[in-house]
Amino acid sequence: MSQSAHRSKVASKLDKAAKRAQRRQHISHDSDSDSEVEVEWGQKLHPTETTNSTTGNERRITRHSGLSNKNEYKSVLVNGTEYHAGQTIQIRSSSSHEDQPYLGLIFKLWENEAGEKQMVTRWLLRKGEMFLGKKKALVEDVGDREVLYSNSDDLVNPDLILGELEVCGDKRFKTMSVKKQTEEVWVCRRYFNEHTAFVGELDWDEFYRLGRALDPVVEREMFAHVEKKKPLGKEAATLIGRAKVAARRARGGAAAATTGGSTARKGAAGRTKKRKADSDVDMEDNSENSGDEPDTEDESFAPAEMAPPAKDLPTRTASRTPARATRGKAVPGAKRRMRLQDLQHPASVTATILKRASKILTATSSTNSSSGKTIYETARQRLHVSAVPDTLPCREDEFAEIYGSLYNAIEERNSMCMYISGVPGTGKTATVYEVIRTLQENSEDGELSEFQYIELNGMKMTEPSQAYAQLWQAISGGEKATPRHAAQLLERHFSAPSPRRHTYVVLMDELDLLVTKSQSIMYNFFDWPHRPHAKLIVIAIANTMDLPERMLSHKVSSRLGLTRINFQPYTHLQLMTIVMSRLEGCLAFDSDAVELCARKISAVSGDARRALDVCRRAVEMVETEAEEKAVENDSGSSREDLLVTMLVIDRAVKEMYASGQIAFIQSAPLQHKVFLVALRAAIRKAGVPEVSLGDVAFIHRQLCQMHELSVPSYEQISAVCAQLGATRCILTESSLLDVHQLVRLAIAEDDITVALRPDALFQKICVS
Amino acid sequence: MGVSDIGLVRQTLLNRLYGRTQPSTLVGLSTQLSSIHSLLHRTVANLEGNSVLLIGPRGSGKSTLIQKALSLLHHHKPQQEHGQEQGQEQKKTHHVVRLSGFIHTTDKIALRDIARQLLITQDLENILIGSFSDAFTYILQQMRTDSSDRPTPLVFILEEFDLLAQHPKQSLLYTLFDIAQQSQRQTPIAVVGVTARVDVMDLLEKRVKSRFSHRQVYVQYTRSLEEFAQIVREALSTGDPGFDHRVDEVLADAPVRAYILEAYEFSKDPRRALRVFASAVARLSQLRPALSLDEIRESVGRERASAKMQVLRGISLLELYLLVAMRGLLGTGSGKFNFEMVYAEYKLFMSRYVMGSSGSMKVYKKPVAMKAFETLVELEIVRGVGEGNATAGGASGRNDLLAASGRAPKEYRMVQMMLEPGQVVELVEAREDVPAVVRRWAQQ
Repeated sequence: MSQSAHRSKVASKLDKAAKRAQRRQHISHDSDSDSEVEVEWGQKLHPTETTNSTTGNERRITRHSGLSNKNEYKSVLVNGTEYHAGQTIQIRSSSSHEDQPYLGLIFKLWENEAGEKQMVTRWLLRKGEMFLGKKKALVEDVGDREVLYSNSDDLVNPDLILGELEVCGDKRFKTMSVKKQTEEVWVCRRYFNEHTAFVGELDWDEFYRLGRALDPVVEREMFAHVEKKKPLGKEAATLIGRAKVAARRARGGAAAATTGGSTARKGAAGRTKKRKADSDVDMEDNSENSGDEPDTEDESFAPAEMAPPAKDLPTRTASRTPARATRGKAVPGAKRRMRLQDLQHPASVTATILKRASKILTATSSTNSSSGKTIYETARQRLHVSAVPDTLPCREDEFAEIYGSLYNAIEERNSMCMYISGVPGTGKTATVYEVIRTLQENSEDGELSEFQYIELNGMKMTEPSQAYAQLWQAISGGEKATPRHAAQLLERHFSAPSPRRHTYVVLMDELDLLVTKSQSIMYNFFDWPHRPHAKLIVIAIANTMDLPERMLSHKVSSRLGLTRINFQPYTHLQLMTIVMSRLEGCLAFDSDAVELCARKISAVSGDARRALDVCRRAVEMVETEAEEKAVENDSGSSREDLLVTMLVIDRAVKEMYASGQIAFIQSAPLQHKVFLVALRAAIRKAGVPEVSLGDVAFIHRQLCQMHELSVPSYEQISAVCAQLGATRCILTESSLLDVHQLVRLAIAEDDITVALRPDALFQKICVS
Repeated sequence: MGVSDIGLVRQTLLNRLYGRTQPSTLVGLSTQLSSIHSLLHRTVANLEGNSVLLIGPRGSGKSTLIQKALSLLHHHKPQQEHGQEQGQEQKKTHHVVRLSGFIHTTDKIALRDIARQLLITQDLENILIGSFSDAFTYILQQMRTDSSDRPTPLVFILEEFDLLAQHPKQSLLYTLFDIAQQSQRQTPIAVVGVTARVDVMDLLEKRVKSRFSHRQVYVQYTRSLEEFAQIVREALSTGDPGFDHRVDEVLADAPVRAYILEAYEFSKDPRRALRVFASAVARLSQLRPALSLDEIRESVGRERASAKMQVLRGISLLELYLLVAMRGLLGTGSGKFNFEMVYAEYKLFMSRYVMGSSGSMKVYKKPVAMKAFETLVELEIVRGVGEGNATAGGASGRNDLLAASGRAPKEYRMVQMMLEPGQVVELVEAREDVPAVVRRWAQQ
């Protein structure tokens, strides 16, 4: 309360400035809107009255910054018509593809410090305006003229008010004429809690007549679940992320212990540490419960209740609410309780994870038992890049951070931008997918609000501006538009209030391909989240860490914000853990072999895909070896004895990274070799990297004469040159230039020496 | 050997010589074959996505190898399905899609052809509007709805892979590799890239590279002449003892053997060695059921003859003198000259050696010489400087010269001779109607 008092003081100080600003705002509004709309304040709400009436929704209101109780009003005059708080109204719709106005109820009117007139509208949701996800069946029977009173509200500019709206209860509606029923009047029978997708009966006529909508007590009773939805602090959210990771890992712990080797031990140590962190949370929780909160409702926080799955949560909170509602005053320990509630999340989260884990476990065990696969086959399958791991090892911190930020943003219905960078194969996209999957599970369980997930990939678009069209298609539910039109529609969509809004999570993969000359696409995508009504979360993924600095103009990178996560290339320990985690329980590998592979790959790129590919290739090699052996021995029993050893890994790495050039030169036809040697000699003689074919041919023929080889004609030499050019061992100009074309070596001179050393003839040639 | 038999033999051999069918055995490529085959087999049988690059110089047997591996896959099929589906309509275990960088120069053309090869006709025009990835996913979906429970694996053969890598953004390769590396749930695909370029990995963009499995199979030329000869022999063998005996006879003939050795030394490409047999095989008939050795020797002679020398054999004496004059100029400067310089050189020679001694040789006037010079330009024995670069877009700085020489009168345009000095000498030696003075001149 002191906070708001302080704010009002500031407000009065700024009174003059505010008035000026108001005038300015008026002007700007006039230029914006098609017709001039005059907005005046009506009756002012009494300050003392305000204090009482707002205690209930205090928290919700303070979310909109710049609110001051002193400047609240009871009514507003738009074009001379007075609208009271609590009245139902029609609001001009923002998007072009719907001609019907939005329906709402004025919930609150006030003037902020800047002197702008603000209005909070509570939406009356029509058919199709509710986002229910899987609970769609609950409100399938909504009639054409029926609206549902909801707790979704939005900041709307008062000048968007179109006029009054007549809404009546079920009983009165039935008495009306058909014409009225179908054209003028809306009926309201039920209310809808957006957060929990709960639908309840409502006697609208009485509710409306008594102005119950503004009554905090009624509000609390009706939308009790809102209380539970305390936004988490960032630390708390990250904590949840960690807890989640820990829970996921705990599952695989037992199996890993058997794999042996130093890695497994290390991994296990990491796991127990995580688990410890998790139990720390629990302990803290318990101490809070037993300690300073002798309040009645705290019994519901008893440790025993930490375990049950998330499903129990809604009922529990529901039973708790009456007590809370009657209390009606601020509790001194409120802060502590908030933390308690925060900490309550990990438990429920863990529960969902465990639920899912058991599901996966049963699934995997069933596949294991059903198939008589060899260890090689299992290993190969698990090492395939496409095999989606249950958890992403070594990305726990990143997971926690992304999860935490997204969870918070979705929960608070905020917008945000996030930039994720890292070289290919470091698990950027996989981590984000994982986060999204977890969040989707959360929201299915009713723990988190609904959100829509949209994926855009720069690589999968014909041109950058396609991003608009794709986003619009996803948002509007399949509408097609040209990129330009879509951009306009999106612009309007994100800058205007609408009841049809839920949170969008947009993933922009391969961001660097969306960079255009004017950078307008990125500018827009990062600007929309900053609009007050947007509820848009943009996650951008790119390969380069310094893309914002290097390629984006300042106005774009400034909008991108500071939430940046960089995925470092995997270190060899991490790569080892990744491979080991996939090989849990599969004994095809020598642990040193995994380490060697991890070290080799981390030295080159730190690309997890590569490490997995190398291991998979190694398994294949061993498999063929084992098969050959089995054929030799003619006994199937010794088949599974061979392990993937360091030698095999070494061979696999060599095979993948070997350039075939030396082998290529060695197998080349005689005259090709002579040509390469002649070219090298010509280059050395000329002292420049490029020589003309004529010079090379001259030396070539000389060499052949000296060593009694058949002397080729010039045509033959130029054919040899063309053939070598096709393999890019040498670079040539157009063959139209014939003997005058310039030729240059594209392979290292040393490679030629190394390749030809074993050949006695060429030893002679090279010496001469 | 009956009428139909010889006709059949002719057809079989011609198909082989022109690469329409594959030889029955592969020489020296067994390891490569087994690795490619097992990879494809895993995609078809275990539904796992795979990608591999097959790298080897031209004529080393890459396409043959793939063809062989694919036909082996087909051989596997009946074994698997023998018991259950005998009466029913046989479902294909996999589909093969072939793309070539030469033909499919843009993603759109490639997409259209993929759809055509997979027999998808529905909404084709509509899906082609979108991006490659969208359209491709749609095609894969269509494939899924066709087959009921088990997805039909796709095998993509990308010939001239390096050219496909030059498509903007490499979105075709990105999409294919991306699906190959995560295709457990979707349609599993195997991507086999075929290329002659050893530096092909450097062409891939980093995110495309990361998605590629880095499996590379190198195909090399045969290491020995015996193997090479064996490949040639395999290609010509029919299984008919009489005919095969004749083939052995032909191959033992000295000029033919020399030619095969030459082919081995210069390219190791069996197709080059087999080329000489084409005309003889084509003339097989009931009346002449055996390969004619003369025919083959003749075509060997044709193969070995230098095209440039053939053209030059018929030029007039004046034109030859001009060439000799140009050769004389080569020693003096940068190798570039114009008509005026060549004519001056010619006149100098004539005044010094010919005019004084006999007078039997006539000094042609400038316009006549100009005509001869133009003939040489038409034959492209002489080329304007920079013309080759204009098409190749090659080294810098030359285009300016071209522009300058383009504006100059034709007598002063700078040209180059497309012959080595040795070739000019050869040419003069080969002619009998050249006076001895000129011979001496040419040999200076």
